[in-house]
Amino acid sequence: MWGFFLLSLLPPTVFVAYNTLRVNDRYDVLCLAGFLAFSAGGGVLVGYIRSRAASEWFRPALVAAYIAAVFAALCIATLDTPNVPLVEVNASPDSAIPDCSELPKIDRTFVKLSQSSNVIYLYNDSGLVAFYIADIQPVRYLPGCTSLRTQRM
Amino acid sequence: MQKAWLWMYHGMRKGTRANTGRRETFHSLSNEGLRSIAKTRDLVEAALFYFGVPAATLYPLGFVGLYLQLWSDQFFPYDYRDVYVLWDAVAYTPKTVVVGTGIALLWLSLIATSLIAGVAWLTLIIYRELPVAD
Repeated sequence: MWGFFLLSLLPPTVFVAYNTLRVNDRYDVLCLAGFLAFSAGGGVLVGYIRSRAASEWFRPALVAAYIAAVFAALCIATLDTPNVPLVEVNASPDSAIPDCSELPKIDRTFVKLSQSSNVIYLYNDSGLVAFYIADIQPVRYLPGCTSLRTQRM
Repeated sequence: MQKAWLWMYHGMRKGTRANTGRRETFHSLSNEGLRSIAKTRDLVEAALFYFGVPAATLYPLGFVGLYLQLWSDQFFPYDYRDVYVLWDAVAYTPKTVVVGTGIALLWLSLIATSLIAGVAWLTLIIYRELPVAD
């Protein structure tokens, strides 16, 4: 049962790890180590309880495994950027969209957090800011540049 | 209340062996009834446990995940000392994005589960191979 479960989940694990993991500095290595430590710790706990055949402890072991899995996921989530779009404010409509070989000019490029009827919330290296939408029109979305944000300066 | 009494009465009549009306058959019926109620309760409990817990933790999980991602984003200039700025930034983010992050984290935790299952499996094998001390 365990072997089948493991075999069925290993291919998506390898696929996701290959596509999403970007390890750039020692913080990323620490996060990756945290992921492995929580996974292995939860696994050892569940395996030990199963080996002792203590059926009344099975559900608490599952809860412990779930908590370990959540912490492991949180560790690995820090390797990725928030799933919010990159935008350029006061964009000139005639200019070409950047090819994202490098991050576009920082002063007019922001990450968009949210938008209400007349205010837009953005952030970039200069800080978290709120603009009146009328003051920064037009706003252009920059597709395909998200992966550049994971590379630390 | 009256309905409950009627239900019990009909249950007793159905459960008696050839309608002999013996008391022990009534007891066996009530045990069966209790067993079926317990089974339903177990099913509801299991459903709540396996689906309810992840569903209830989806938004908090997404919130914490987004908080950590913002903190580690090179574009976001604030660090761990600016807790209120980070909190505000996550609070501005639309709920759909937060829940989406939560779903992505649940998927990642499923992957972590595969590692956990693998380690548990290995632990189980190693533990069974170890000599038992008398």
